Amino acid sequence: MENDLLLAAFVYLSIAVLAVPLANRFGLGSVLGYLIAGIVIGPFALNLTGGGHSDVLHFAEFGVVLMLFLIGLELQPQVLWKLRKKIVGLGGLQVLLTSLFIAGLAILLGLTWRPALAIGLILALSSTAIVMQSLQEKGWSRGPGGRSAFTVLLFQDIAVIPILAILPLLAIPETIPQVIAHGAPGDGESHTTSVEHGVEHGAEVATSLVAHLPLWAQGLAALVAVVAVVVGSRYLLRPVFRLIASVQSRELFTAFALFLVVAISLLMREIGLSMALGTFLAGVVLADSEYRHELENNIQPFKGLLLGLFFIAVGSSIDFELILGSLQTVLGLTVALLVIKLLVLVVVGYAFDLRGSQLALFTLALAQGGEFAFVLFSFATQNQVLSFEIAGILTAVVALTMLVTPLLLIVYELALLPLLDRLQSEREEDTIDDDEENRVILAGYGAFGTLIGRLLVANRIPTTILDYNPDQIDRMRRFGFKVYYGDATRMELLELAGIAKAELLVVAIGDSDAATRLIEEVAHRHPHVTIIARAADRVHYRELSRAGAHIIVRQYLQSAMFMGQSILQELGFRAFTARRRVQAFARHDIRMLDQLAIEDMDEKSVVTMARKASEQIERALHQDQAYHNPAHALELDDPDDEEQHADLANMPDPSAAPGRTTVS
Amino acid sequence: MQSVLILFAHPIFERSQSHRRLLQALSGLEHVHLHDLYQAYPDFYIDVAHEHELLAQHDHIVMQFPLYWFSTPSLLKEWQDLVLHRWAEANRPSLNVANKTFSLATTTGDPASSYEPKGEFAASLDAIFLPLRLTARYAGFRWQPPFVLTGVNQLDDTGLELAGEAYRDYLLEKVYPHGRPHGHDAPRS
Repeated sequence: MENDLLLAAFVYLSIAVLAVPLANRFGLGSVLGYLIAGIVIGPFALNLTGGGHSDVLHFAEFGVVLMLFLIGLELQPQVLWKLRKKIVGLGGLQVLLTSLFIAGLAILLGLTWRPALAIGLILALSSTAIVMQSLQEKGWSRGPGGRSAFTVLLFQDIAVIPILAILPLLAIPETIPQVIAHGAPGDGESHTTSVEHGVEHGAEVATSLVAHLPLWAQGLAALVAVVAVVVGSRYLLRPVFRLIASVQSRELFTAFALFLVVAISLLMREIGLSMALGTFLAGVVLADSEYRHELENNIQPFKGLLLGLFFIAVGSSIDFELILGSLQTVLGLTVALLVIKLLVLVVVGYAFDLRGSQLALFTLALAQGGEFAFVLFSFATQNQVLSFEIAGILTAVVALTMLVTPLLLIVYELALLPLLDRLQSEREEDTIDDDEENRVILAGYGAFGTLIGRLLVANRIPTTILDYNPDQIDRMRRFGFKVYYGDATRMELLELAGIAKAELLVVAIGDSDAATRLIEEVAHRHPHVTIIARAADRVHYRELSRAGAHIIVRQYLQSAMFMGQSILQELGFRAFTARRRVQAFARHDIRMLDQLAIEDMDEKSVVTMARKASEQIERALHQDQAYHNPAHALELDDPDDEEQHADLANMPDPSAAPGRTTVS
Repeated sequence: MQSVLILFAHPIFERSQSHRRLLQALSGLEHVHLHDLYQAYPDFYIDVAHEHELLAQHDHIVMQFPLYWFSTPSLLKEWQDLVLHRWAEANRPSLNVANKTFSLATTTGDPASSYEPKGEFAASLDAIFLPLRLTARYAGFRWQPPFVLTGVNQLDDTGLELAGEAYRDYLLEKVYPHGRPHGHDAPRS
């Protein structure tokens, strides 16, 4: 058993590792790569899946749930609320029109209205997994077209619930024997086991705890569950996250994040609601939370793996025997489905103000059947709505349209996009979530970063703050700061925080080596960002300079200088003179350091040179002090001793007083 | 052809319409070097050696500033205290052969009439500039008539535009004291 699991993992992972880079190489995108990989290992090519692909599919569907959770995390409640009209209008119109056209075609092809309507409803849905994955991969998900596609998908997710309620009502009594005859192989096709396949979208009324209740009580239970998820995410989760974060264990945080999604999914399933929808809702509520980026970070890999698995499973489930057996029917229906969907999408997209390349993207992205269809077709056969043959053929059609989608998007990218952009002279800018992209990102919020953060907020400069210390975050949030929990030294978190759009990155994290690595990476990947960094000491100063930091401030220089001024004053210097001495010292010291930073030498020589520089400064300032200014006609008191500065660089190497160093 | 150094001192430049327009008018002028003192020395700690280098490199020095209390903003006074003090000292024997010229470019909030004998202040701008004139002479610079823009608070956009053009012409005179080469003499529309 264990061996089988390992073997399956080996097969799936190896084909993914082979196929996805290849697909990317040829510009096909990872989705198509996975689908092709699935076909290759499926029963009609290498047959390595061992017939268990439906289990894998069922398991991998959880990837869709995770994806919707992540999408929810990206969407603040206010944003969702603003989208409500579009979700209902655009999404509703798409589902309604597509359903009617497909049902009409089905009736023309000889079906009665009941199965025709069922098919229409099921095929009206598109694939959230494929669309969102493809759009995000290409960076199109945030433009008007991508956003509109998302609102339609969201409506479809919601629409699954009423569709599930309607489907049993469309049953045709005479098809019952057929359905039983075509039950899943294996454990005797009991109603509940096959129903388990429908578990993904939690839509299975039959397994839910509340199924025996009257309809109003079911509705009430659903309402209570949704309110519980929203309120719980809002008020209960924050202290729990705080507690978990204070343990400072990344594994624990990951475990809790997964636990959270699984728990919500279970709750939704038991209550008869869509799991994906429930986690999406939880994601939206948590989108305001400071732990959002870290949650995204932790869930992302699981989502990626499971979605990949899901696509592979879809690929391997394409029944080529069936397709080849009725090739003309399948291909004809596939084309018909694509054409109907494209036409409806163009019309509704245009009605909702999409134009040019954005309309094309919206249309082409949503033209396929969705993963819901797999679930719903099996559900429909169980409920004697559709015959197994029809469901089988249509499942193949859906899979084929999914396979076609990445190809359509390639056509869009290579042919349509350049063409339409050229035609559309004044193309509207892609709207970016500007409420999230601040000009300044402050990484590290310890004692040092806190001071900087307060200065920025005092000057009303919107700043995104990243830190790993939950106590700090909580305290600063109470002051109304926008603080995110997360390891600021991880590049992914910075990407999520909007480094690509930021102007300034302030690196105030305490771990010197981590700061250097981070700066190296940011300077390499985002050369437009100005990096201001805090250096621990002179050696670190030099490292940061090499790493590509633009402005470097030694963390102790200014405070030491302030203190030094007080010391000089205590020793009898007048305050202004003390201030001037300190300024002179700091200027020399910074100049020396900048020189050291650009010279090429090993670390040991840096220390030696730094020491020599210190001695030079000491000497220069001492001479400065000894320098006496003769009286002159204007009777100015000597305001400062500046003359020597220019000569400092040419000072002879002082060998006096070895081992002595000055404060820096 | 002469090189011009503008010692620009404005502590709240971001709020000054007039100085922004004056500086805009110099864009693209060759041989005119703008030195923004409040930007260079926010902590008032002036790099005297660097300032001496700048003085040595240029033929004509312009101090551009808004008139504060019948005098310069404080950083420009600090600049005189530190830079000219040493400059005069270092160049004392040869000051008269330095052959550098000096002038002011000043704006006032009050109208020109305030500086007339019967005006509000009952003192002419010449009288107000006398300390600066003496300072310049002591430091070895030959004084030249100032560029003064009075009543800047009353100036509308056209007024500011005209002022900018006048300032540009004024500086071109400094760059080409013996007549401008072709292309510079036509006044801009």
